[in-house]
Formats: sequence, structure tokens, C-alpha cells
Amino acid sequence: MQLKKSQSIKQKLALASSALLLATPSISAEKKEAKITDVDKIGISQLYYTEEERVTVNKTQVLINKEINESNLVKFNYVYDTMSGASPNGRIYSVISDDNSITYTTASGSANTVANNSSGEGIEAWKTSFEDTRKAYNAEWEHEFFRTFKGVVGGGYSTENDYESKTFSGKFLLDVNQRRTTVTAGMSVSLDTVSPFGGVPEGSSVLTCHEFAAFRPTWLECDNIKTIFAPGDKVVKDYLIGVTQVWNRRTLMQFNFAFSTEDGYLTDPYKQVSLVSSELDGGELAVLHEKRPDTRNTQSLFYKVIHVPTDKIGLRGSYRLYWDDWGVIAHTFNSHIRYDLLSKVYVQAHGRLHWQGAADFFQPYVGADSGSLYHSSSRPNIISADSRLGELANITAGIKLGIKINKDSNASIRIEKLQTRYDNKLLPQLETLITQFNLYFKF
Amino acid sequence: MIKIKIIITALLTTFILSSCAYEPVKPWHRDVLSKEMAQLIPDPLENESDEHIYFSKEAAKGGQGVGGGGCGCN
Repeated sequence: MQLKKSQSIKQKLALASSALLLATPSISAEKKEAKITDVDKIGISQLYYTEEERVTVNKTQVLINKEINESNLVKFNYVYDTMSGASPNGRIYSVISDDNSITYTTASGSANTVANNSSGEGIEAWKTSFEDTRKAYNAEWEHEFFRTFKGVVGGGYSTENDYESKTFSGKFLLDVNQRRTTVTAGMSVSLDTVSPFGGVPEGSSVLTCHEFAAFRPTWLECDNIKTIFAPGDKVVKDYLIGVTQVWNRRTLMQFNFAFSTEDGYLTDPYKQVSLVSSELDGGELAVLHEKRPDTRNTQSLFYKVIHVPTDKIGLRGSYRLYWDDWGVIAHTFNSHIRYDLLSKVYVQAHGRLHWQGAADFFQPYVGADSGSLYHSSSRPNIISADSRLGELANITAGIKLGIKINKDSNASIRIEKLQTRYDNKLLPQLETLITQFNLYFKF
Repeated sequence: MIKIKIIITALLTTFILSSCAYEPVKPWHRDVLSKEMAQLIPDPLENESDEHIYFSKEAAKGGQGVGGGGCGCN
């Protein structure tokens, strides 16, 4: 009996040893994979973004992740964007009922604007008239206080011809529940300054008045046009709490709640609103600058799930519910499906669907005549015709091909098409092509 | 409309497939979740680009993290 018990213990010990030996490669694999993914890595990216007859962006990006020692990791990220083209400024330049045309303004940074060109010739002019650049630098330091507790601090600086942003951020990550659960809490502060050409205009003030004085509403101050003021500043504070949970051997989930406060100059100095009159068959009487509220409070709930049903297939899906006190509500679904064709080659399909409702103060134009659509009997206090604050749907579909060059490097290329559908019928559907090439290697 | 239906179906399929039973996973059973395809952000360059693109085109923002810096694009 005693002998039998002894054998049983031996068997158990043998089984435990075997299990440990079998488990060891998994742990090693985990560490090895994590190293390739996160540390001592350089990433280089080139992105080409082009909107049909609007904006073109060339973006070069470099990231460097370097492990200083077992407890410290630093990350650097550099972005260089060149932008050219034009984007809608919210203004209507022709008869609304007969023509779906819209005016274009040059992108930020250009002194040459077509905003006052009501003939439509400006649409040709913008194609060659503007160029802006953006440089952004970000750095992060990750420190492991102990095995289950990490802190990350970071800073960023970005600059354009007419815009500057400084960001400071910090977060903590705490592993609990045998490291199956990670709790995250973080915040960041951004200090931004916009210095547009011509100065920051007074919100909802008159930019220009056309003729037809007889049709002007009494509140329109065509003799008191104000445009030049000091640069506009804003402070954006973002907060986030989240939980990442290992659900089972093949499934990982993440839940985040984020909220932010924005204070200061939140108006877009390049956006305008047309004042139109039915006496002119919907033609433009005057142009106003837009004006947004000076504060904004946003919230979002974010859920992401990662599932690896087989060794060759990886699924990643997320949903975000966003709402703010400007009246915007948005739903965003995002999904990636990866399939490993060969040991060194994979393809990945991407689908994204975003729908948003309009901000409370969004309207495509102001009606000058009582009884007309979007009529205002006084100078609008808060108003924007920026299509990005209107109701819209963004639909993205794309494909990516990835190749593992060797054990220390990989490359990928993706091509995606983004379709934007505006509820505002004055804006035509917009097609955008996104192409990106990425290369990662260890050093 | 057909495109929207296809995308919604694909997204729902993703969620349904992932709704498996909870099981306490030991550290030595995380080989699958250590794969690159199972990372929360497997391609940070692509993620940064997408965040910037959609931030400049939509009224909604954030949800995944904090910071990243502002721009004159929105």
C-alpha cells in the first residue's frame, strides 16, 4: 500500500515535470514573440492618401523602440506629412436648387485662397495653389516598477505652418488575476495654438457681403467687418480607464471608457457659412465665419475583441460609441480578418463603418428670408457648415499583404478605399484611396 | 447599401465567433495570444495613420488611448 502510494507520487512528479517541460517552450515563445513585437525595433512607413479632386497627403513615419534594460523601454515616433489640395469650406457659391457645387478653400498655411471666388474658377486654382507640411515628434518612456505594475510617460510636439501642438501624457498598467487582467488608467494634456493666415476671425462675423443690399436682413453688418485677431489657443485633456482581459486561450478583450474636455478656441478659422436669399433663387448674399462653442466635453465607450480560432486565422473587431455635448453621437465598427497563407505570408481584410449624427449647431447655410429653411432672425451665435460636423457615414474596405522577410524583419502593403457619404446633399459622395507600405526590423 | 450589409455581416461574424466561453488561462497557455496577430495593436504605424486620418474626417475621436497630439486638421 505504502509502495503504491510512493509510485503514485512519483507518477505525479513525472507528470508535473513533463508538463513543465512542455510548458517551457510556450513561455519562451511568448517572450520571443513579445520581443520581436515590441523592443529593439525600427519601423518605417510611407503612406499615400488621396481624395478624389481634393486633398493629397504624403506621410512618412519612423518609429524606434529601444529596450534600455529589463525595466525600461523607450519609444520614439517621427511623422512628416506633406499636404496639398483643397477641402470644402462650408460655403455655397451657386444656386442651391440647380447646382450641387460647393466652394473650396486652400488648406491651412496658404495665403492664396479661393474663398472669395464665387465664379467656380477657384476649383481649378486650388489644384496648384497650396502646400502645407506637418512635423510631429513623440517620445515615451515605459518603466516596470515591478513585475505586474508599469508606468508610461510621454510627450509630443507637432508643428504646421499655422498650427502648433504640445502634448504630455501618462498612464499606469496593473496586472491582476494571475496577469489575466490588466487595468489601465491614463491621461494627457494638449496645448494647441492656431495662427491662421489673416488672423483668427471673430466667430460668426461677416467675411464679405455681396451686392443686393435690398435683400439683406437687418442684422447683417456689412459696414463693420472684423477679421484680424490674435492666435487662438485651446487646451484638450483626455482621460481613459480600461480593462484588458484574457478571456480564454484564443480570445482577448478590451473595454475602455474615455472622456475629454476641450477649452478655448475650438472654431475652425477657415470654415465659412453662406447667407442665402430666396430672392436670388438661393444665391449667396453674404459670407459669415463659422463659430463653435468654446468648450466641448466628449465621452466614448470602446470594446475590442481579438480571437484566434485557428493558428492561421486572426480576427480583430471593435465597436466605439461616442457622444459629446455638441450633440454628436457616433457609432464606429472596425474589423480585421487575417489569414496566414504561408508560413511567411499573410493577407488581411479590413472593414470599417462609421456613422455620426450632426452637431446641434450644424446647418449647411443661413436663410435670409423669414419662412425659409435655416432662417435666422438675428446674427447666429453658434453656427458651422463644416461637413465633418454634419451627419455622415464613412465606409472603409481594404486589403493588406504582409511578408516575413526573415526572423527579424517584416514588410506589408495595404490598399484601402474610403467612401464618405454626407447627409448634406450639397456635398457629393467622396472617394478616398489610402495606400501604405510598412517595414519593421530589429536592431 | 449592399456594401454596408456585407461589412455589418463581417463585423457581426467577428463578434459572434469570439463569444466563446470564459476559461482561466494559465501563463504557460498563452502561446496563441502571444502571436503578432493577437496583439491589441499589431501594427502601430498603421494604427497611428488610421487614427490621424479618421480624426481629421470625423467628429468623433479616441477610445483606444490617450495623447497623440493635436493637428490643424480638425
